[in-house]
Amino acid sequence: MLDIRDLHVRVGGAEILKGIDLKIGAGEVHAIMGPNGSGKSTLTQVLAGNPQYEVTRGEVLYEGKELLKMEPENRAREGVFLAFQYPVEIPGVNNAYFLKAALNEIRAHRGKPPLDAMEFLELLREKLKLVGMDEGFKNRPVNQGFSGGEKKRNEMLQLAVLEPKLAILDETDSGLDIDALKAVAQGVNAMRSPQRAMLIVTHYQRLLNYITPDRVHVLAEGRIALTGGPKLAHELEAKGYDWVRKQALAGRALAGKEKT
Amino acid sequence: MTPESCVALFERFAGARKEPEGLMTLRREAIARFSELGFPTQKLEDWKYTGLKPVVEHAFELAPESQALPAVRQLAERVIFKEALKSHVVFIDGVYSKELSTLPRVGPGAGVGSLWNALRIEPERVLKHLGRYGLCGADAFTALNTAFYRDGAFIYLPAGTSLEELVQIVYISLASSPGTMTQPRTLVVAEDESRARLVETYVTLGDGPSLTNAVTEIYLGPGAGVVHYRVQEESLTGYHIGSTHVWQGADSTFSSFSVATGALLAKTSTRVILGEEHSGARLMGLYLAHGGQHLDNQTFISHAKPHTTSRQLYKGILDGNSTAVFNGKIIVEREAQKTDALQKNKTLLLSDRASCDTRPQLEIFADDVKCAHGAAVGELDAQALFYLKSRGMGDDSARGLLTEGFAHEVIDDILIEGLKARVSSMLRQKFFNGGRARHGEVDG
Amino acid sequence: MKPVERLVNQEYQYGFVTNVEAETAPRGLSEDIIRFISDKKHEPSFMLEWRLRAYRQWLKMSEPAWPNVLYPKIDYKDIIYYSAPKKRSDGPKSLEEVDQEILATYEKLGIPLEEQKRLAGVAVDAVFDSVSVATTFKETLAKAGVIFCSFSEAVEKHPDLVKKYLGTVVPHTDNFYASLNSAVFSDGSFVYVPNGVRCPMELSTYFRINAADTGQFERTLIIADEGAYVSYLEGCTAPLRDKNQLHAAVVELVALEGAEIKYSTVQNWYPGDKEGKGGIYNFVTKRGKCAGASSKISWTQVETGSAITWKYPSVILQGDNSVGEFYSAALTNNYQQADTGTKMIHIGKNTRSTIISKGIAAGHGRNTYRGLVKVMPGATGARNYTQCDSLLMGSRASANTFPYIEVKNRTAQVEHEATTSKIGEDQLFYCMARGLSGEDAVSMIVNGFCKEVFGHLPMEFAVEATKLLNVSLEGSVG
Repeated sequence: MLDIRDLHVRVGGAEILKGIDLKIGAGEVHAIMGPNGSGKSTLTQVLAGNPQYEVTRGEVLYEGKELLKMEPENRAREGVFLAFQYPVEIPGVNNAYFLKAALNEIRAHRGKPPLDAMEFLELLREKLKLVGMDEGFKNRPVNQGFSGGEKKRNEMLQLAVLEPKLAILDETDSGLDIDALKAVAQGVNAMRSPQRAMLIVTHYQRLLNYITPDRVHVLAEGRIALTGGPKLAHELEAKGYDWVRKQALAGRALAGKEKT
Repeated sequence: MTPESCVALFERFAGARKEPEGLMTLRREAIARFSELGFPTQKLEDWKYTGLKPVVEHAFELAPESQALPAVRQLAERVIFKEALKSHVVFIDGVYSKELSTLPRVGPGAGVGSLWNALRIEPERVLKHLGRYGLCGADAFTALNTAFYRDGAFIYLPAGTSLEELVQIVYISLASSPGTMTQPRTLVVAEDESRARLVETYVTLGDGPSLTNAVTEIYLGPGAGVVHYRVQEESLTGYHIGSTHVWQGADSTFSSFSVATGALLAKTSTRVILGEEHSGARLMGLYLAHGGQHLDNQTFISHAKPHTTSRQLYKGILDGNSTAVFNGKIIVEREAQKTDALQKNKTLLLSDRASCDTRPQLEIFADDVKCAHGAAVGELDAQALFYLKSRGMGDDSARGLLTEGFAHEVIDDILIEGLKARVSSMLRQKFFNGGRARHGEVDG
Repeated sequence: MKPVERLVNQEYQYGFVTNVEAETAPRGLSEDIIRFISDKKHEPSFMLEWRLRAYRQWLKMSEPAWPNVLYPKIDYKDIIYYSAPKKRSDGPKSLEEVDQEILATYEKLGIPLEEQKRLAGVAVDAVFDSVSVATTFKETLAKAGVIFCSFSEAVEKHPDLVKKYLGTVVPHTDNFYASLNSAVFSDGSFVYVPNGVRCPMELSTYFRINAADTGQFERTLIIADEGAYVSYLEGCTAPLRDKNQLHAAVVELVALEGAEIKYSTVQNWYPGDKEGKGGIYNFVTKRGKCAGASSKISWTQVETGSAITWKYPSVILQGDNSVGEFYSAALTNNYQQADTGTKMIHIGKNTRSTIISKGIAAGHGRNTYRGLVKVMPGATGARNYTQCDSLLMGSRASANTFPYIEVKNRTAQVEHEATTSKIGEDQLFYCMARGLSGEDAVSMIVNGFCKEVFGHLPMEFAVEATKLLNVSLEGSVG
């Protein structure tokens, strides 16, 4: 479903991603872990199409199409969803209204008729229940005055309503207490399906206690340093990121030797 | 006083002076500019709430040169802060008093002393800066000062120097013979990466009607840092016009603190041009009025370049039938993206007859900016007053405590202990120790 | 290209011209022209006298120079001060007598005048150029005792009420444009809601400028007697023309004890083209007086049209415990300029006022909030809260905030807050990452910004205002 090839990205003049290669198939859940500043968030923002990031090399194929050539809204309409690490506040805009507008744009793109107010409300109620959110959320302005945990849950609600094909979760666990974390994980697990791919970006392994990924990648200094199965996350938690750096360094040294 | 009488007065004044040519040219230009502008009227937005009728009606004369009488010495001793005991410059009716001054020891190339002396010794260095900054040309009173000033403080900081000591500049107006005017002029040149802390103090000895028309110019080179306090505590029979013009280079920081408690009618304006990127200004003000005082406070900040920052907080406390004005303007020029400006004004009315006018203004021509202003006017919080009284406090001390509390947000910002103590005592004198009924001298 | 810059241009939708035969006064202004207007309207002598006094006063006045707007000098001799569609008799007795072309015009503007086509609950007075052409639901209103008619009709049928209240809030000497209006005003709406009556439906006036080179000078007078309530709406449009046209209206509101008047405006006069050519000069004086205790006057305005807007709907809070409100959303795009705000004059005890102003400046637009809050010595316990926010779009627009706060009573509590911001790139990206187009994202954010104001409009108008704002914003930057 998603095929990232040799992706290089600059932000404000500094190269953050220095050649990422990653393949995710339909139905798979991949986790990307890595220390602060390794480029995890940059990767998610680039996949969603944030114009502040400059791709200097490489390509990304999404369902065979060139993702990087698409506008952000078209990516969303094609089924790419990013749960933001820092969801943005939009004063005065009603949450439900926002979500209905987004859903109907996506439906229109897929050739489906728009939902009317009643149909949407029904759907929203069901999804609110799914992510364990209060009905009151729907009438509040988008993310404004929300606590950190509420913002993250609101992202999960949007995920549940918009039903994307590729869901990218950026540090969805940060700032959540254990109950909220479980609720979010439950929501994510409920969304797992053979048609849907997921990319979970996280600093800590704790979210992966509740969501078992198919593959785990470790990002360090703009590259994928290690790839493994679900156990890698635990190993990482135990040994720390320094261990990865050493592994990566050793690997590079090894590669260097092989070449000579 | 009319513009014409000022011109006549100028001719007499100029005729008696022997000055470097460049300076006299500046003066002639200034008096011409003044007679063109005339005294500001209330039709001008900046003067909407301050009428100059009592000032203009009086025929002020230039003060004669005076000696340091014992009473003057006592006054100077009383107002000089202990932090500035070894570094103060004193002027009597606008003329440098060598006797009363103690100049700080400064590094090579630096200077703290009399502007007039500097003008005689090295006119080029002074004239390179004098009258060049800010909006000197647009302001009638600044033009008048340029035409008439005799002396004032000159502080020159070469690149990289720091003045360790707090420098206090004391302008004493004798106000002995009725109707004298003095026009002190201060020039501060802080070159790249230099540092200084200054206090300007304005006091009067007598209580005849007097007019002080003070102008201060401050230049900050790249990376310079200047902290500027201004304390106006002249007698309640005088008039005071004070204009501070500031121009800031890249990465410089300017911090101003204006206290106004004296004069029957006063207008203090601080105009800052954030002339280069990443410069920042912080303007704090406190004005305390009682009796029939009228205190006008004006600020003007021009964000001329990107990434500039300004913060303003002015607080006023009014008693008796006093009136006060806050007139603050922030302009963000088209080029000045990423400006961050905040302005606040709060006024506390203690009496039924006190009144205030406040105008916080924003003029914004750039789109990527963060600007906000706020103003609030009100009396002491009745709930809080009740709470204090219910704990056994008398009405006066409860009010006193709350009033001080109101002022504290500003007073706490003063980093000179002597000044901090002085402002607190002025506050109590003026509003509580029987000061509410007494409209006489502020100081005790 | 940024999404904000990608918006497509859309033309002003109401710029068409109606072909009707009109009766017009010769160009220019003189006492004869005023006599001509007064005569046309068969006015009693007190009206003519009043007009002439205003005219003589006006001759001595000069245009205000303080507003933050720029425009070439207006030649008052080159304006036609009276233009009215020709009619068969002396004023339409019923809709059948109204010119079909005019009915079609209002239909096209979305304001059908036939009562069966109207939404129940809204009565309309339609003013076409200088005169009222039709007033709907008059009988229904009459049953409730409410007088809703054209100003001319009020002068004719209710001269005592007109005489008693005309000029009591905005005197004929008030300001340059108000004096001009007092001298030459040709028509407008008149409302009287009697003691204790809650007006059974929304009243509205729809103003249309049609003729070229004419000025429109209407005058509206609304009186809510003790305990009465009325909600009144006005809308306005004009054809596309290269030359600027002057609109100098006066609105006076009087609320007696316990009465409430809610006055809403959706102003969409022709704003001029993208280069700033043409458009209406909207120089309007609107003022209400809370004459009685516990009365309330609430102004809500959505200003998207006009080349220049100069208006300060104000409230004189004379009665104790009276309440004044001002909710405004003003948008300037292309070369539009607006200097607008309010005045809240607190005279009575425990008077309260609220000001919420939202200014949006796009293109080369110049948007100024100017507002006065004045607390007089007797206004013990007065309260004011003001919030004015500006939203800037594009780097050539400007936004200014000029509040004047004058407090002469210590028990007053006056608070003013203002902010300026732009639409954040992060907000746009977030919306787009959820599938919204850039255009929709911008309009959603702008509408969110104005929400507090739209919430005070009657339902039907709120929808209209939202649409209007979106249309006006199109092509805002680029």
